[in-house]
Amino acid sequence: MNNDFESIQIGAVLEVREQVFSERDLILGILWEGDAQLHTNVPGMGKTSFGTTIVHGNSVTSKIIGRLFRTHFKSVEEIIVSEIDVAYLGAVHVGDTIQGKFRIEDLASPAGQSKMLSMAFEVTKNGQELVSKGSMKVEAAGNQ
Amino acid sequence: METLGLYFEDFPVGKSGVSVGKTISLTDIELYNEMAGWPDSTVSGIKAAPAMLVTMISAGLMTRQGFYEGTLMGILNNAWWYKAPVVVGDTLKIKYRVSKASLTKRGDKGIIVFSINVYNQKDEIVAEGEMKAMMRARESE
Repeated sequence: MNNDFESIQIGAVLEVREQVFSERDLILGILWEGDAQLHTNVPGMGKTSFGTTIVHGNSVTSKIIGRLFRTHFKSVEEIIVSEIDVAYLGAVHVGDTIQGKFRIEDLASPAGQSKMLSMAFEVTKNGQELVSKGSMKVEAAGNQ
Repeated sequence: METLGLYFEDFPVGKSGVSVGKTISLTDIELYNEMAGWPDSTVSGIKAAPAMLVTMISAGLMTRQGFYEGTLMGILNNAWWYKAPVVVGDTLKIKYRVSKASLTKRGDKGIIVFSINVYNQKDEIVAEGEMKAMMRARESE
């Protein structure tokens, strides 16, 4: 299936591959979301089922959506995200890789070349474990 | 375990609070885009904050309430609706309210849903959110 933005249709699945999480990503998450023990206390988290500190779930969502935009929305001039709903099902640690699949659930073109897209997505880590799933709505405007 | 945080029992439905403010800097957006790679966006020539950065900063303003410390077991779900652009120089604050609270069967933890409004310096709502958090119950001690 051709998944260039101009030819995206309902039912298309856009794949996003291999985003590696670095310690820098974890620290940047702390800058904005704070240093809850989940993210900074290595021995404390070692006593939990997580095994060690975990990456912020919103950093995971941020990176996978960013890669989606860079990979599949390259020709779009402006992207406006109006809604994101995500359930966190598993932990991501520094060194893990994540992959994503975005399925186009709905698509409308209300004005000119802009497209209103509803997508469902799933994020897995290290090629197997589902770590989050959700949905989002975006308006992609002015594609060339 | 001694903790600075609050327990599930400390969050009755209706409990509410207001955060301090956080001003969005150009460096916030540049660092975010370095990490996440969202495309640049401007509003009237001023760089705009990506939606998920607004979410992360709002989550951080919740963290600064202090009640998560040592008692937050995880964020289970995040739902956000973005109502207006946020640009460099805007100062965000949140108002939260506990909209749901339910203890798990084992009684050692509970699920709390925080309904959050995010305001800019003009008191305009720029985003609304619902964060579902798992918190320790006193029974777990």
